[in-house]
Amino acid sequence: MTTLTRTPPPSAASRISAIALMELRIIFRNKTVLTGAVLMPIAMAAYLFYVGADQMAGPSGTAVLAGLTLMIMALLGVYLTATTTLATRRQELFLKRLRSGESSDTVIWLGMLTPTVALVAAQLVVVTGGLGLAGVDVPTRPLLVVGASLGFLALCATTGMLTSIYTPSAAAAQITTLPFLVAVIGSFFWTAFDDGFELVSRLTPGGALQNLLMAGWGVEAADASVAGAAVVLLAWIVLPYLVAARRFRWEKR
Amino acid sequence: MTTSPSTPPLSLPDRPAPTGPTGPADTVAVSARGLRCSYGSYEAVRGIDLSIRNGEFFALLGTNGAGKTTTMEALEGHRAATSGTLTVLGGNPYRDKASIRPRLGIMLQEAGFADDLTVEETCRLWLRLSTADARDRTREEVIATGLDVLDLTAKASTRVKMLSGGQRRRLDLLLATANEPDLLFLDEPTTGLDPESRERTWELVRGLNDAGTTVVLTTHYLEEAESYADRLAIMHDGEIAVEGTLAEVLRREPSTISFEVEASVDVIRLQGLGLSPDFVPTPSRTEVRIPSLDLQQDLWKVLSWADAHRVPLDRLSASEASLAAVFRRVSVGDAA
Repeated sequence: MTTLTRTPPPSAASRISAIALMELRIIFRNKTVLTGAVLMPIAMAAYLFYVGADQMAGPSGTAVLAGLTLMIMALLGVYLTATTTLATRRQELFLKRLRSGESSDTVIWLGMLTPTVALVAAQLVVVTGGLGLAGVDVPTRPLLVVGASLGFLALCATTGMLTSIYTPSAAAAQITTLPFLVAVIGSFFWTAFDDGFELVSRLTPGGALQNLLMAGWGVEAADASVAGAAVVLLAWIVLPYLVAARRFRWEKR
Repeated sequence: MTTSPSTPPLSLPDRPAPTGPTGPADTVAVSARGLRCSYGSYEAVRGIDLSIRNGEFFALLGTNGAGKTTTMEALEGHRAATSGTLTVLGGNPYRDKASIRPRLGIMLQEAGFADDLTVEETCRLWLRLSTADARDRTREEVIATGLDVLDLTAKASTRVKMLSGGQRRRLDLLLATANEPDLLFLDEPTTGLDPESRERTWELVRGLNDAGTTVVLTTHYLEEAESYADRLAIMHDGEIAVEGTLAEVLRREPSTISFEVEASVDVIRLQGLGLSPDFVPTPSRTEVRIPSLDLQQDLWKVLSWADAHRVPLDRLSASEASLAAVFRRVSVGDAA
C-alpha cells in the first residue's frame, strides 16, 4: 500500500514520468501502435542492413547506412508515433483533461513524447549492438554520433508535435506526416550530390544529420562545418517546438 | 457495505477551516469586473461583473451560446480574458495557474479519458498528477472511497472505453473532486445522467459544499439551480441579464393570472383596473393573461370585476413567478 501522508506535492519530473508511464502502458496494450512504434522500426533497420551492407563498405558507407537506419527508425518510431499519439489523445479529449489539472503544458508534452523517444533510443541501442556484432566499422567520434542520434530523435519529437496540430485524427497522420518524411529522407541524400547547392543542403535536417554522422565516422574533419551542422540540427529541434507551443491545439475542432 | 452517497471521496470534515486572505466565508472566491472574452472578432463574453463568496453555491445559467462555458473557461484559467479584471482565490487564474490550480476542481462540459486505461488506472494517474497525492490519505483510500461513493467500484478494472456515458460523467466528477478543491467548477455535470446518478452527484456536491467548498455550476436543468444554488445568474448574449438569490430574482419577475372568458365579454375594461392584460381571442373564447407584481391585490381586482359583471372565469389560475419564466423572458430578449 502506498502511503502518501504529508508528502510534498508531485514534482514536474514525477508528473512527466506518470504521464509517460501511462502512455507506455497504452502503447503496449494497443497492438497496432505497438507494431508501428516498436516492431516496424526494428524490421526496417534489419532490412536496410540486409540489402545495404554489401554495397556500403568503409567509414563513408557505414555512416550513410547508420544515418539511413537512424532516420527510418526515428521517423517511424518517433515522428509518426508522436503525431499519431497526440492527434489521438486530442481526439479523445484527453489532452484537454490533462490541461484541466495541475500539470503545465510543457510537462504534458514531455510526458506524452518521452515514451516514444525512449523506446526508439532503446531500439537503437539494440540495433547498434547488432551492427557491432556484424563487424560494422565503429565510429571514430562516438560521442558525436550519440549526440547527433539523440538530437535527431528530439527533432522528430518536436516536429511530430508540430505536425499533430494539423492532424485531426490518427488516420490523417498517414497523410500529414508524408511531406516531412519525404523532405528528411530526400535532404539526407541531397548532400551526396555535387549540384552547387551544398550550403543549402547542409541547412536541411537530413543534411545536418548526414554531416554530423560523416564527422562521427571520421569521413569529415571535426571543424566549424560540424559545429554549424550541430547548430542547424538544434534549430530544427527548437523552431518546431516554439511554433507548436504557440499554436498547439488542446481540443478537437 | 455501501458508503452513503453523501460521503465525499475525501475526508472533508477533517480539512482545516479555510483561512487567510481567500478563506473565510465573508471573503470573495471569484471576482470579475468588466470581463470580456473574444474569439477573433466574435465577442463571447461582453463585460460581465461577477462576485462569488467563499463557500457559496453559485449557478451560472443561460441559453446555448450565451457565454457560460467561455466564462467558466476564463474563471478556470483555460482562457485569458480579452479585457477586464479577474481574480480567483486571490490570483489571476490564467497567469497564476501553478498556485491556483491545486485548489481547483474542474469538471469540464466535455473532456475525455485515455480509452485504453482502466477506471482505476485513470484515477491513479490523476492522483499522481495532483497535489491531493500529498495529502493525508493513501491513494488507495481516495480511489476506493471515490469509486464507492459514485458507484463505480464494480467498474474499477474496466477500460474507460467500455463505460456508459453516465459512468464516464461520474468518473469525471471523481477526478474533479479528488483533490479536495476549495473551488469546484461544474460545467453541466448531470447532462445525460439517469435520475439515480443525478441524485448521487448532487449529494456528493452538496456534501462538498457543506464542508466549505465553493461551487460554481452551469446547467440547463433549472430545477437543479433552484434546489441547490445560493445565488444564480442568467447569461444572455455574453452578458449577465439577471443575478441574485432565487427569491431576489423571482421578486423582480411578475406572477401570472390567467383565465378564459366568452368572446362576448369586454375584457378591455380590465385595463381600467390598473392591470395590463394580454389577450388571445379565439372565435368563441378569449384567453387572458395578466402579469402581476402584487398577486394577491391583482387577483382580488380580477375576482371583484368578474363578480360585479357576473363574468364566469374558466380555467382560472394564479401562479407565482418561476425561474423557468425568468429564463424564458431573458431568452426572448434574444429574439427581440
